[in-house]
Amino acid sequence: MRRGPAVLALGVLLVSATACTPAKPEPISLRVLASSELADMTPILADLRRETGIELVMDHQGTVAANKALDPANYRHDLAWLSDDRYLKLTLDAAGYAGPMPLSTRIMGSPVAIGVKPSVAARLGDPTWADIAGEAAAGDLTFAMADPGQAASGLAALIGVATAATGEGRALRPEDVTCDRLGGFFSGQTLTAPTSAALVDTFVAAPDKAQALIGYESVLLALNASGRLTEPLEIRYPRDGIVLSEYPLMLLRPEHRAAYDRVVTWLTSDTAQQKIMRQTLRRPMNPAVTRDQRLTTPIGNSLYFPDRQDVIDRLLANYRADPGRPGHVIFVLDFSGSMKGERMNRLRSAFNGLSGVDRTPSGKFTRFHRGEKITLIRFGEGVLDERTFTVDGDDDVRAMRAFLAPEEYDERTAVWSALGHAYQKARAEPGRKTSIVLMTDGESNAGIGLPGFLAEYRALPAPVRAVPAYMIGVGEADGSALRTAAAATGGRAAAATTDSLADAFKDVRGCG
Amino acid sequence: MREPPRLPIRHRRFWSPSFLTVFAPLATVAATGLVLLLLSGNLLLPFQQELILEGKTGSKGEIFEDPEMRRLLLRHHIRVHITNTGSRELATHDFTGFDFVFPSGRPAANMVRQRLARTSGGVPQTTKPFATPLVLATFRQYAETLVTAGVATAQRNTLGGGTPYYYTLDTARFLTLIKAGRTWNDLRIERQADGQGSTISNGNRVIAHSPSPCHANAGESFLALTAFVENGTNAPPSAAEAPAVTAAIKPLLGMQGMHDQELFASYVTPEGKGKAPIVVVYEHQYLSYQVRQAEAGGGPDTDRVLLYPQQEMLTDPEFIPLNAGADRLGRLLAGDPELRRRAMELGYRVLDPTSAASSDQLWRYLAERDIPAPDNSGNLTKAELPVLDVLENMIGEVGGCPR
Repeated sequence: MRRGPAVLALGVLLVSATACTPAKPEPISLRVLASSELADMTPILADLRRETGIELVMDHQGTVAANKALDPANYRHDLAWLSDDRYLKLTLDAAGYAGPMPLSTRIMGSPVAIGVKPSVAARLGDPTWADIAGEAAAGDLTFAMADPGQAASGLAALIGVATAATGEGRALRPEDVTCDRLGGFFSGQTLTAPTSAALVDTFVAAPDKAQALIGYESVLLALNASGRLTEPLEIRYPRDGIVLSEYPLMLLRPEHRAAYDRVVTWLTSDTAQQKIMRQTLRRPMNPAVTRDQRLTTPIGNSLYFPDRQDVIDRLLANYRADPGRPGHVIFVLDFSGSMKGERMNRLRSAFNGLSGVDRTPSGKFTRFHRGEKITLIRFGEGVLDERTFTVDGDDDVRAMRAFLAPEEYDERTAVWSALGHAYQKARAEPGRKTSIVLMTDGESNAGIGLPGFLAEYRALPAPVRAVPAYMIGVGEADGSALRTAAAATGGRAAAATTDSLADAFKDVRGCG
Repeated sequence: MREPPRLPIRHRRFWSPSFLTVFAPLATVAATGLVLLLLSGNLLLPFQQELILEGKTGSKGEIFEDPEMRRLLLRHHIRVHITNTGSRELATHDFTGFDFVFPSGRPAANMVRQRLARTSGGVPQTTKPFATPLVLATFRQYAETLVTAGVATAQRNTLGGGTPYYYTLDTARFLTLIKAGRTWNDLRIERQADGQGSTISNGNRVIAHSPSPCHANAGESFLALTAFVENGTNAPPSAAEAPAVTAAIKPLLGMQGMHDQELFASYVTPEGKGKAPIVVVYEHQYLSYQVRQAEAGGGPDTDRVLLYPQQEMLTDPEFIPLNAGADRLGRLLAGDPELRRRAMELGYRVLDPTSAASSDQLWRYLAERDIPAPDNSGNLTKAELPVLDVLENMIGEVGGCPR
């Protein structure tokens, strides 16, 4: 509680008539940890300084790094102004931080969107992330996207596309990220950069390298307005969900509360919000501001944002494990007599689906993608035949189909010998991200047993042991043995019926 | 410290003719000004000491940011500066240096009182000046989709005919939808057009976005409401029932992922519908928004509507003064007719001296602005909170709150 100054004399009241407007407080300079794209706020911050006497000295950093640099025990700035404070919340939660969160006010918003060149815009129409993934996997779309390990626009896009890829309509959970369904999507990423601004430069400098640019709506609109492109990009908001950044201004040092309040009042005023909208093309938080026509397009639905740090960690680990380098999946397929008929029909149609026939969202995310190496092994008592394909176009798809077409079956099933054989194949290319998917419909009745396989597996060099085996058991398969082998190799076992065979392949194949 | 420099003092004759020529007009102005000040009733303003109070609040801090409320308080020589955190957050963190706290509901208020009893040996006289129910704010397309799914029913428009602004939500069925993992597309959201005739699709699951139960009273109250309904809508879960109820509601409340603390601010932006189509907020926030809309000249917003859960969770914010100055503010909020009237105009159900929430005045005020009133009379049952310890355990378990 404070007592205001007692003003006693009428004369003073009259003489200080101008004092009805409070005297301008002392000019002050605040250090702000800011997302790099906020460099576009410079002219607005000059107005802020002129009108309030408060200078914001911006220390621009990549948002992801900036979030990591925020330590509640030792803030090195007075304020933080980041595209998103959700990463900070996750980090603090994960660290068990129980103290108060900094005071925070959202100033303006921009969704992560896709700017597409006019030549592909008509074909894409109003796409989903799944459509983009399907196009990229088929080699029909290339795009530029910032590094999710450094730039928030890249991370938001990664979370968006990963959430959409589950098709669950809820926030990502750690178990959703065990199987990376994004290989097809990222096979289309031809350009990257550590920040939004650098990404734009890269994109402009290499006009033939990418057909689309994934980034903040504000960045895309500003690029269109800059005249740096011969044809403006058309902006698309993925229909299966977007991620919106709302640029909260956070007070890190409570002793600057009064100045913070003045800055927030100024930035959220109608006039400043107008200026922000006009000059930076971000969406005002103040609903009273009449929108620029370019900012009236509905942005669709926000995806539910994950609430656990390990989800983000896993996403980034998956992304880093294989940046743009297609993997190798070895399919080990049971061609024993019991597979004849309906089961074989389903198996073949599952592979048709994976080669691009399946047009469902999950099909688009899991289809074979350009550059990916696929080895098919048909086995019974021994290996009947095997062949490796590098996915490039329709010819490869036809060749795979032809490989699975022969009605040639063995009487017996040597499951563990076949799996051991697949690991020997994986040995050939230890540097490449490889996984094995084995499908069988019966108990192993030939060759080595499970203990024999496990002994062989343990004797493999470490990089080959890191290759996981995913097991699909149908019919009379020994579920418990398949689970043991999957667990031993870091894979997963899925029980399937003949009807759900295609789904089982989509489920575990995404782990490749 | 250095001595201030001494200035030479020059004596002058005050009543010199030259001085009078300057002073006479000034004196006239002064006298006129005095008369004007007396007439306007503001005379005493500059003469009394002004009390500046620092308050830590949940969403109820908004009333102190209302320009009219500030003007009324200045007449009582009180200026209020607030720090808005979540109610539960204010109760669990330090409030040293603040003159009052104003949590939005009973659980956080109880925590504050317990803490004061422990640390300062006494609990001040608190006041509950008004109440407001927890509601789910949404958009017409979403409300109508729930009606089609048999989960909500439109209330009659109290202004006769007209589109409904209020719906009654069958909370148990709503929770069943959430449990089943149904998405808005499953419920055929695309069949509903908005005022401009455009339709939407939404592959997200049906949920209500609420603030974190660890931080905000609305989050805490929504958890308690969910628990009350899950427990069979007769009584809140007892300590023995709590573990089973907690296990049942945890996945429902976890579906949304990260909680958002500024739901209402986003709800009223043009992006609100895409951001979170159903948000757990308070009735007063919606009503006060509609009043602002109506007074801005365009009439009430017909696209934004409310769902009233069948089990009403009435929240009563509790003003807790931490010193004598704040105590005066608390008594004014509870007793001053002008302040009470303004609180009503801001959408609150103002409590009469017998502590019963009376809304008639509020409904009349809304009707004068062409805003219909909710028609809940007799349709809602009262939802009750579990006892504090049980609620605390549930919040800790569901929200995984840092300790």
